[in-house]
Amino acid sequence: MGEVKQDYLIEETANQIFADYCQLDRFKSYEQGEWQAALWKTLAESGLTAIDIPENLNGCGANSIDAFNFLRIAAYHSAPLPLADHFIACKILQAINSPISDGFITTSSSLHQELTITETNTGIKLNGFLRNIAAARHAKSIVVLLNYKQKKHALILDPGQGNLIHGQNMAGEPVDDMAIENLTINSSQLINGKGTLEDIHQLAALTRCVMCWGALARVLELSIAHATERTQFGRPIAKFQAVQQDIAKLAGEVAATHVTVDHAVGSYCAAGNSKHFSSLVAAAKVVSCRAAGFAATVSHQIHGAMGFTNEHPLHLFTRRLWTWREEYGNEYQWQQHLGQYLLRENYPSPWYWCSA
Amino acid sequence: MALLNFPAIELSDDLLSLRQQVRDFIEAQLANHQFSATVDAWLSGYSREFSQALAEQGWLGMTIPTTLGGQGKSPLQRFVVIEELLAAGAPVAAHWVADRQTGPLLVDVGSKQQQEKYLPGIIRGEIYFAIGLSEPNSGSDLASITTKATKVDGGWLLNGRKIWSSGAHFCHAMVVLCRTEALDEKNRHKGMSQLLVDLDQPGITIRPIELINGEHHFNEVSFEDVWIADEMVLGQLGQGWKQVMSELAYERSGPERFLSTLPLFTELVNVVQADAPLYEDERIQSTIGDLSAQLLALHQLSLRVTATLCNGGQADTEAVLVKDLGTRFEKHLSEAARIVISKKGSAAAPTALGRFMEKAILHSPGFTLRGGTNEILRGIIVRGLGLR
Repeated sequence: MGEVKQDYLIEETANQIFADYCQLDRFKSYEQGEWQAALWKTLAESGLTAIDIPENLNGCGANSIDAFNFLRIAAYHSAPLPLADHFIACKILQAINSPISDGFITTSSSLHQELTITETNTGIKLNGFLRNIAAARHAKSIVVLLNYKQKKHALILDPGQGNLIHGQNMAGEPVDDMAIENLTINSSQLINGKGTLEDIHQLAALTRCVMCWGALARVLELSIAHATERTQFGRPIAKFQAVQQDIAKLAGEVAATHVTVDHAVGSYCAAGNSKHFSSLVAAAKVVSCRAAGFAATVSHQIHGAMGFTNEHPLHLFTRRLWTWREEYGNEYQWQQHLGQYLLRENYPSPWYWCSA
Repeated sequence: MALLNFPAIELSDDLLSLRQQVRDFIEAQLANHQFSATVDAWLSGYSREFSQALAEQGWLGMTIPTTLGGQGKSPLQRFVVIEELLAAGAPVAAHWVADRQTGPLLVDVGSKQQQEKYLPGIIRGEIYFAIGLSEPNSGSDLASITTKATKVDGGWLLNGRKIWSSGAHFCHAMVVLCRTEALDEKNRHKGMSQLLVDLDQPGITIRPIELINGEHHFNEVSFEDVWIADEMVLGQLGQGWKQVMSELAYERSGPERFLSTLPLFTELVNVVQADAPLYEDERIQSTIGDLSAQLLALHQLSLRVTATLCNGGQADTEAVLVKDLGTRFEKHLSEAARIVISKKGSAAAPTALGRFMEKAILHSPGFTLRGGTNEILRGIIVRGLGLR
């Protein structure tokens, strides 16, 4: 794998690589389905594609906080690669103690499985669809979680084991469905992580929170820059109170997202998976998803008609915010999840939970 | 990438143990019926006994240096104590202003004589202060105040009116912002000073101002030729505006800006937990989850602002942002109980939940007006973001 970077260099290196690479024409190419091989190569060579995977599994062995930070920075630059999905796939492999090899691997949420599982003498047979797989057409393998015998099992599939149906999400990113017909899987291929796979869904949800945070920060900056530069009626539109009020509220949503997501990440990095961590992910999802919608609406309003074209970079962030807020559960699901959690846990007050 | 700073903070074992001590104290006080939780307790919960009980625990004057009789604790230690008191709806109104800002202000700019006169009483929970800033014609535009002090031999004669002074009717003294020089239209911030005014003097009239629900917390305080000795000028003559701005930083950065209605939330969750149809209601579950997520966000924001102040950093824009977000949350929370009450089929308020909700809603217009009207604060936020 690539050379190991020290923690504080990861942020700097990532920012540098993305700032150099992320030009508008590259995004057009990505949306036309072209794999950004040069960017992937640069990231892989810098050790940025397996940041917190242990060295004995071919990762860089850095802290998970660096890995989440990296995803936030990638989102801040709207990096044209499904880095979070690769991250999740690697985390599944890590959970089952499987080494990572070079190349892009991907995953799909268990929320997007439409599979019939039939038992066979040697294992199972799969029929149906895996949906919403990030860039399956460019992936070496697809790593998913299957519910089998009431437990989560990891399964590594080759894209050639099904029929890929190419598609795009709202952000124009390549997202594919895989049609599976009578696929025989040996039971030895279904790896029960002995409980280590339980937090994958939360980690995946947390990647979306972290990505929303990165995009939100960028959207706030763009909005401030636009309001300061755009003049109408003889003055920058930043002089109008209506615009100031909106930007102040936007800053509030960005700040709320920042601290809630950061707190969840910090909890994971300090204490790993826990019941409490799962509740913090829920809170981070609720706050970041609501902020995402608000930010997209407000920033487009501030940017006016010009921000509503694909010649302006704003859409690179707002379309991703609209997309990511739906992935691995939106705020409605996670609000209910968190409410049920708090009722079940019988804290004397939600205050005790939030200050824990 | 960061326009604003909200550094992560892990509470030390000392702070966690302090928090537990406060929780134990509150539980004991509740068990002994020393108070019952109320909404908006830091405005409306007056109890001299409770203030003194807190003082006995060493929880007043926490950030005042030990050399001046205080506890010499950090802003974070004080924060941990007051957020527990606020979350519990404890009656902290009597000493609230004195402890939060007047004490620290006296430490920062007070003379030795002034410190000796007031600090011991503040720390013991016996001397209470009111704020003299707004006037009938000067609310958001504080620089337009007209209360003035005219120089006479050995002191000043104070004339004017201050309004919205909460607790002036039970307070011993007030810090009054006034003009000590003629107004300079080109620089309105110039020529203001802060005066320490004992409220039991001739020439002072305190008139109660009742809220829409008849509660009396606010007052109009009129000054007619009130004699103020030179020794009672606080800080530097002519530096009133600058001093007030730093005093406001104390006022704006605290957790009361999102915790005023928390007792309502606690009661709501308790009611839901005890009632199966409410417990199973998906909308109620979602409401609890939504509000809890926002509560967590605000707690983290407020805590991190305090951590910045603890490290000697500036957090003016961040504090104002938290105030805007927090007070809007207080309003959302005050509406939240409606979903439970409508399910129960009655808007009658003999229950604790109904009582809390009524009081919260009746107080709610004030949340986003007091401590700086939110719309004005948003102008300050964008200035901090470089927009103005």
